[in-house]
Amino acid sequence: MAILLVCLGGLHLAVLTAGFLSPYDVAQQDRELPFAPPTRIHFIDGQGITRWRPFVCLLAEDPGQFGVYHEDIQKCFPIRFLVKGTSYRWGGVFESSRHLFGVDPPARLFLMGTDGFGRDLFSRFLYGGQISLSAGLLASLLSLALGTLLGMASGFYGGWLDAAIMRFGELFIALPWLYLLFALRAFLPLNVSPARAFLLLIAVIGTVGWARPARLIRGVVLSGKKQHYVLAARIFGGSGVYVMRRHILPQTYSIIVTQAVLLVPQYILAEVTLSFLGLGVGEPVPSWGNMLASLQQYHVMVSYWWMLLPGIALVPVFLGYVLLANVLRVPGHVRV
Amino acid sequence: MTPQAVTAEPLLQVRGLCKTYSDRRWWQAQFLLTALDNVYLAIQTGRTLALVGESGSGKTTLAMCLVGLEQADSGEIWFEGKNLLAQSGRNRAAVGREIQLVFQDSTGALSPRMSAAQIIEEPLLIHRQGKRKERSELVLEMMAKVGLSPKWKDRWANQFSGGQRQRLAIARALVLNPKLLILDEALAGLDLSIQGQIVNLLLDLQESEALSYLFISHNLELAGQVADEIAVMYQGQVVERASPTQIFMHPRHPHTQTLLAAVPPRLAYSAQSGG
Amino acid sequence: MRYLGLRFLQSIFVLLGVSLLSFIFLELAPGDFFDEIRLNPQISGATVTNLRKQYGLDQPLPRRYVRWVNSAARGQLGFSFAYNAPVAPLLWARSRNTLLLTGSATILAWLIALPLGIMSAARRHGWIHHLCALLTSTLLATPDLLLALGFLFLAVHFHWFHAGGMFSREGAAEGTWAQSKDLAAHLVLPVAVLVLGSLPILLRHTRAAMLEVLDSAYVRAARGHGISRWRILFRHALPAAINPLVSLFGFSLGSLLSASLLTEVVMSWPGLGPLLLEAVLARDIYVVIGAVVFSTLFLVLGTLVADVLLFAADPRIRGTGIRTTAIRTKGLA
Repeated sequence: MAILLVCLGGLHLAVLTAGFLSPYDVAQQDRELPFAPPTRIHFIDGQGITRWRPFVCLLAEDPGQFGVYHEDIQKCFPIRFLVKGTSYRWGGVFESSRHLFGVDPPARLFLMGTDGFGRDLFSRFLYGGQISLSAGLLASLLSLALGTLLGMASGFYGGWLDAAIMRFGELFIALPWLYLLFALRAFLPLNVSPARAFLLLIAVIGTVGWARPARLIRGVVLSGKKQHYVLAARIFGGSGVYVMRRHILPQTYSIIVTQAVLLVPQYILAEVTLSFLGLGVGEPVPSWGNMLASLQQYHVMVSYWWMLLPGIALVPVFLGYVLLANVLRVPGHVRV
Repeated sequence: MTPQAVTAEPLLQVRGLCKTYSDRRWWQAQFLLTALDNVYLAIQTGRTLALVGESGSGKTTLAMCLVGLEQADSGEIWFEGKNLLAQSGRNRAAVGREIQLVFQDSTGALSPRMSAAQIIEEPLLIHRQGKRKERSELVLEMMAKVGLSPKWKDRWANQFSGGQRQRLAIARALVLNPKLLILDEALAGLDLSIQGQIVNLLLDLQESEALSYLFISHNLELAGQVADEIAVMYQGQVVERASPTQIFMHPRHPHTQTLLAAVPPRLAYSAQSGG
Repeated sequence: MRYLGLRFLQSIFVLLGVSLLSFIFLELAPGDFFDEIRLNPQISGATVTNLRKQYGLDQPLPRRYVRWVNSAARGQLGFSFAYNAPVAPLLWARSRNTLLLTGSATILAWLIALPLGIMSAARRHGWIHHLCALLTSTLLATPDLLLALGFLFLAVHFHWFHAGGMFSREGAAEGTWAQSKDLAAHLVLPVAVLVLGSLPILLRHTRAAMLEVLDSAYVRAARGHGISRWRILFRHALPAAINPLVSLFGFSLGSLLSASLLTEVVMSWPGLGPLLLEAVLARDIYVVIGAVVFSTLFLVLGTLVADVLLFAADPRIRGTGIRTTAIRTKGLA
């Protein structure tokens, strides 16, 4: 369990420190090198001598052929660590320009290759991870907040309010979630700046998923409000709101945590899917989703396998959360 | 302080209280349960009325109506000259402070997430009484009154024994200085020796705080030891009301006689002579 | 029978609710289809206003909704601006393809999951169980998008089956048999994606449902009586597990429809998915509403079918008429 948390935490941390870990800026285009494959890292140089420091060789495009490259063994550049590069901000506040690793120009270190504009995929992957992972987290927070609010009101007050909220929630549970996301997304303006798109996305995804947590929380509240210490508080004159806040809400914490573990990966996937289809975060801001979008073109799919890498990265994230859910014994893991 | 003389005006008077539970679904027949059927009783200031009956006789429903957790369908509840059922919300709440309840299960009645001091302090917090210093002093005072050592004030509720938890519950109920304390089977589930201790505590508190008790129990013998008057409930009605001696010597209603028959004779004799 | 009637009414309510919600959402959307046309300087504002009036877009929401419901009841679902054709036939054609895809995937998925789940429950720690556990964990961690892209990738690189589309374009195959083969060849990949995507949930819940039944007192009593293992499994345990399994069927339909939406888009299968996406991007509102309502319709029909099956299979529900034991929250929360 601890190992799991460390791994998941490590991944999230890596994404948070994207500025430091990525060798290049997200928007930096290298028009000379579109669709370059991942750079090979060598330890043995042209003379057959093994070196301590790994190095890369200069990439040059084959004349007359688009997207085919060969390495020039004669020109090699060592990989340096803690190099100075383009400046970025830590947490949006502290400015710095140290990167974990890099190579001197004109060589390039593309750990995951480049895309059609010659942008380093590894850097975009890290920054895109910020978008995708935080979208998942924030949207889950929204869903849980909405679900807790409505579930508690529904369970505590009962009566027609309960019936109304639950019927409304049934609609959300009944529908296929992607259709619901589409419908909801359709009602928002299509061409917005990436920043606003990000917020809209979180709002849409978070709003769609309120119903299931609300149902669970309502269940907890229904049994919780009958506890004698809750009754005692009401006898003392505690108002409904007080009782809910002081006594019933703490009973819901464990449900909230377990639901979060289930929701976060689903929402990350929702963001990736929507961005992939063009309904989410758009260019030039990277997200794992829109990085995969170019794969819809046949020639990309055929020739440039490294473009799949952001998608493959989803697997460890999901695996981490699935295992976490198993360990926490979250009951029921039905994909929404 | 001597117990106050029996005044002409009882502290609490219940007249013709009725409550029916119905479970109505539009596709099924109605499901009716009469919990309270024209209930009459009265408690004098500083006295103890025991309400005895089997489960389902309506004792707890009556208690719930008195504290305001349930709403009676009809009838009157007169408390200190005011009809509780005719009061508006806020007035009802103000009067409601004077009536408090101690539950049967102390485990469920005390929040597992709060310390002893927090539990006792809660009613004060709800009513925003006094400053923090005054409140904590009051809390310690209450703990001493019910026989709990003040150095336990930061212990979690489930770290206390059963008897201590009931003391805690009593302390919490008394912190707002109520006039009437309802004990809903508060001694059930405790060891006999602990029961005795709690009974003594209750009797002492009645003297020192001029409390009235509504002592609900299914145990006729225990009721006889504690009460000044016993009311027997059966199927939502008060079928007999008399002093303990009367009940034990000359039970009139057949249900009282059934209850009495269940009490071992030797104990009944001592209850009669001691009560 | 009253129970079925209630469920039917519920379904109507859901359909109406969904259509109303969609209407309201799209009404709140800034802009409509004709905004694109407006950008063209050659088309005057008056033309656009007339077009709007022609399509009834200038009327207030409640009236539009009522008109929509009226025509929906008669089988007409509005007009598509992008395709310049009525919506309903468009949807029917695409729905057939989607149903073909999801239907095949459902049948195949259950055909695989049911026996595997039963076996892995019957022999609790056998190799089947471990295989299932491995499969489940791996597949749970792989999102549908990746599965779809991955299969496409493999198809493109190794020329397995046909990557994308529903029929081959080159050389229209002659005769129904050849056409069917062609269709089947194109079906393989999308169905594989859908089946693999839904397998983990089905496996896990089938096994859980069977385990719960196998652990119950009456099954142990049957074993004590000496009834053979197979007989217990199929005559006693399975019928008791039908209840949660049918509920599972209902729940899984929703996620299957969503998965098929994505798969159709990625693999260019001409179903409701690509249609809906286009419509959303083009703000073709009646198509969007129609597609959403259609998908809800399928979902609702599927659940109704499940309920009827449950009614026929579970005597408890026939008796009391109340679905008290139907939804097991444990494991399906």
